[in-house]
Amino acid sequence: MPGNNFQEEFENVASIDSSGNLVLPTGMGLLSASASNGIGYSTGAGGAVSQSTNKATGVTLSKPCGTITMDNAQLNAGVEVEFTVTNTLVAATDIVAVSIVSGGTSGEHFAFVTTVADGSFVITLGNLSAGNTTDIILINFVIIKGVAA
Amino acid sequence: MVGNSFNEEIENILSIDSSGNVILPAGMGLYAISPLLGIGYTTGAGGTVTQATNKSTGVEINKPCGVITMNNATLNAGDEVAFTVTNSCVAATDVVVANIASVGTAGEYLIAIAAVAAGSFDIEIANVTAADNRGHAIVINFAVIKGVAA
Repeated sequence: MPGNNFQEEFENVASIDSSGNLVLPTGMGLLSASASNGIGYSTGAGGAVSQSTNKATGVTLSKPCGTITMDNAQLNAGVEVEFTVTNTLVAATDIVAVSIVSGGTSGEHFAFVTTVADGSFVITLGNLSAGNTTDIILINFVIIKGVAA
Repeated sequence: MVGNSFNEEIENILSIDSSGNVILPAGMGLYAISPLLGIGYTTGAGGTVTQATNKSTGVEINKPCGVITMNNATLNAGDEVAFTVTNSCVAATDVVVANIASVGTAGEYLIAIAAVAAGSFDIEIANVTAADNRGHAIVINFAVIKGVAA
């Protein structure tokens, strides 16, 4: 494969599946050598949702990436809370990466994905600080497709 | 889309934005079926930085991925510390993935992203041992995954 031109390589090896996805073949990874631009999603892919009622209330956002604005209900010191994100794009073998964007003092809270299933995932938020918090925490997420075979 | 030759489809649907990025259109995902090769960054994209002074000292690394070597100041059992990574590649809607690459005994630390903003993100490290104060130079791998909210 190395040495051919880009068009020739792609024409010979890549394919588009029945869902319209670009599929790279065995033997071809996807790597970016850009020192300034990242890999991921662009405008049109994302969405936003706000949590109602309390921090355990589920939300629905069927996008491959987006921002979740959590409810400001109190989370006591040393306590964690989990909520379900219903998302039709998630498969049980996927990885969901999350980052806290803002809310409270940096370092007070931890966010982890603790369950992934077909159609949903669960985010667990922990308050590691010594005090109770009532922050509106914003969380970014992206789905990275994964398979087990 | 299905039924055209691959070349025709690609020519018709892919685009390159003003920053030189390849943009897949709405309705097209990107999957690799290689059992050996991954998706991510390759040589030329990454960088390294070492944290000075203590574990809350900010670092700067303007790359989409890289390795951060933390200062070996003591982090007491049950304590957590956060530090800012200044990084011009990061937008407020991005997700930063960070893994502890090496240090001490596996399971002694938890790591998470505590904040993301345009131009920076915060990494939080917690010593989750019961009673072991630690002074490790923790090595952290990170990668920026571009995200959007619209």
